[in-house]
Amino acid sequence: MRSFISSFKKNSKKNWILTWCGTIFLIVIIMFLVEFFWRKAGHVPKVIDDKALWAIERSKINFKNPKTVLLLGKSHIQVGFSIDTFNTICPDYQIFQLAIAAGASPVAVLNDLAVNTDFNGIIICEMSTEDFFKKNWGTQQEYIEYLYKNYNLNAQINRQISTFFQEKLVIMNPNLNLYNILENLVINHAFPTPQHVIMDSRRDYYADFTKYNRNKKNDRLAIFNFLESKYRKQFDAKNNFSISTYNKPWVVPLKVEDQWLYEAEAVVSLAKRINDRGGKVVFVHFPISKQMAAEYPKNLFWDRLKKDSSVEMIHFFDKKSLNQYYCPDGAHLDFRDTPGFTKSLINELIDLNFIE
Amino acid sequence: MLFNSYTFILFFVILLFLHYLPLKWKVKKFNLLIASYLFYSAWNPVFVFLIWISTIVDWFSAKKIYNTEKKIIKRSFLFLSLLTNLGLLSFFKYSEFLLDNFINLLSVFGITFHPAMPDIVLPVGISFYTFQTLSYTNDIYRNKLNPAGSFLDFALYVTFFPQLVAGPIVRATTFLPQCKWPKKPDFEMIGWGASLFLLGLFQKVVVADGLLAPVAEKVYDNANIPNTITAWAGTLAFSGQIFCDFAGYSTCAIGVALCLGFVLPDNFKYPYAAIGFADFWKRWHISLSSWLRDYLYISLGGNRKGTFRTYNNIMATMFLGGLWHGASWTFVAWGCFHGFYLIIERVLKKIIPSSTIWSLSPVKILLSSFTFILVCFTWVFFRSHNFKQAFSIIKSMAGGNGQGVNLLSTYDMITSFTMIALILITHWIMRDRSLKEITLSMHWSLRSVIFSTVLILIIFLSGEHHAFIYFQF
Repeated sequence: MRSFISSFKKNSKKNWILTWCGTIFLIVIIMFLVEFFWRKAGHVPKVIDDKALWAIERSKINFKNPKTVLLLGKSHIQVGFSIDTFNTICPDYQIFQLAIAAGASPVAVLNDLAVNTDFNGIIICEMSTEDFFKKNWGTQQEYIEYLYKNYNLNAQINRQISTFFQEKLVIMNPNLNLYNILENLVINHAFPTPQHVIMDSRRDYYADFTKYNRNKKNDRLAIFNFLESKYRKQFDAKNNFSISTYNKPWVVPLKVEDQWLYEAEAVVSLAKRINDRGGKVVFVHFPISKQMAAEYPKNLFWDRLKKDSSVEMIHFFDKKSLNQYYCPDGAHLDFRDTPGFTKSLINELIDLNFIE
Repeated sequence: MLFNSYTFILFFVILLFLHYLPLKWKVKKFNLLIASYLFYSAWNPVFVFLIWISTIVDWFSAKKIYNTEKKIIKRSFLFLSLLTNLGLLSFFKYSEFLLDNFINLLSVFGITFHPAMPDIVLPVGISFYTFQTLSYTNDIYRNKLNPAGSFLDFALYVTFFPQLVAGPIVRATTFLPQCKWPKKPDFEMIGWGASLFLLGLFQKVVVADGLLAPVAEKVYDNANIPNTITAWAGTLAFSGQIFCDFAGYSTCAIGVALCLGFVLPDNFKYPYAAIGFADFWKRWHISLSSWLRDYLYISLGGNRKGTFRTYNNIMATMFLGGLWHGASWTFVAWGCFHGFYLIIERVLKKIIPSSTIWSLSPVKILLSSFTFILVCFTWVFFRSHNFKQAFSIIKSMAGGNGQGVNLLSTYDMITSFTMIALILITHWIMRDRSLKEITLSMHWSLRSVIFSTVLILIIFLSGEHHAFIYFQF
């Protein structure tokens, strides 16, 4: 019977050795040239975020150490908080970036820490007003599910090798794959320009807004690259997420701000649960533009929750030291501003006795 | 562990190094067995126990079947093997499906029943290795095979990692004889095996995941009803995706096994160049179709018991073949459509007189195209989430959904139609040829250029990583 692919018939050993040596030689040459080309064009190596990288950071946490600091939230804190600055000011603390740029609300991660762990360290939880709405609670849940169902040694090793290459080589950046290059050539008639956002293996973002071009698709999507149709679909699917430990009867208030307050109290209950066992949780509203902030007037939403809340809450509007920064895209700080902002935030936390 | 992952490359390099150290053949086989368990454990170590159960039960059942003359004892141990393997498969794969159907049946009679739904995780590759071990006990029961010489050989046959999770479903008659003699480093085998691995990765990473999956997802994972051209583009994209995904895995598996000195059977022979459905099933997932033919269709009586029984047997075989793919009625429908086409083909072959006209190339191309179009219609059931979606997409493909919307960009359309055209042309050109012969006829430098181009495309065109589709089966 004729065998179509696996048949084996003797061919010269020398030919096969030459074939594969030739292949390796050509590959090395081509990769070197492409790497050289992109570096010359200003591109730098960049680690690409995903669930496995998040899970690696999450699995490093020492839950018994009260001097552990966790950063929860979304892109605002990933871009706006400088881990290097924090480490310089607070060398005794261990800090982990658990914010998820792709997720709108960190409630699922907060819920996991409150319910499934005995964490009693410090949580800086970046929350915008809309993140308290129940409809947004489940947006980071898929990361929790990945952690418990799919994350294992294999995923960890694979991700660590991937991170190693991404840290060293520009060509490992998927934004520079042939699809994107072709798309850029067709739409912009040019090769992709260096992105204004890069991330390191600690999941710390650096946004250089001097390279930001609002009209370029790649730049618009650099931070919100998951907020496309696929993510939206998952977002809708997760709306059933609920906080199992919150037992107050559910009511349907008439006004949106009342509904928000009711739902926000459930989120606060999670923070309280961590506080009750010796942890410290603070909700921080990071700087955004006035236009974005006007969507949810502070006095109708944030201030009402803060008034009766047993959990610390910091709104950038209330603190002069935090309100002096400009967000070039309306929601994120430039990397030149993040050390100053981080320092100011740490000072606020020292005032609250969160950090010694 | 995915073939298209860094961990696999690391794992395989270490294994290859160990495999070609000057160690005893028994030690090398033991290494391969441990490596296979490690490979499987990368998903979920707990499920290795299921493989052990299957291995131990079938090893002892086969021994008992072989060593006794009494028919009743032979049958009892065959039954034990069937019960164990099909029991595990049914529990892990079909529990929820059966319960769902039971609830629906009760509701027909007005009885409302709300049992706690079991949250059962499907062990990867269970459908493949249970069929593989079943073929072993069946072959011994039918006196077609002698039991494996050692437990190590048999355990390696069940667990050999390249084909463990998504086939090809290897017969003991093919694999066990290869365990007898030591494998020495053979550059020709390693060279060709690595080439096949590269080709398989290209099919999977570049064509299936990078080019076609995004198009198919935009149509099939969308709540909106597609218009005619979108429905066709999405379905054609899926036709290409599922071939490149599954054939890609099989090609990788065959390549990896060759690098270790083992020859696995071909699983695909350019199926989209098939003329008719009997031909299609000789070219698509060959190891499964031949398994179903040998152990199910022939056991049911095959074509030996009259025309009606033959058609009945075809339908039953394809019904179960559909169910093997997934616990859903849409997979059953997919299998039944193939059964129906096979029956129609048989009827037509009886009615239409043989003529030289059928061997003319234009007629062959026409028939092959017609076969492909019908295959595409069946893929709609395979890919759709439910019957409602399947019928809606088929209606769109037939031009009956006037209010359907365009879900794809021009770029997506061009990608889908171009890629499927390239796949069809390649299948037609390669229909009766061997890839190996063509590769070997090339000068080494040309081979190097082609391989490096393929590798470059894998590196620079890799899209979002997806698990292989057939893992879920």
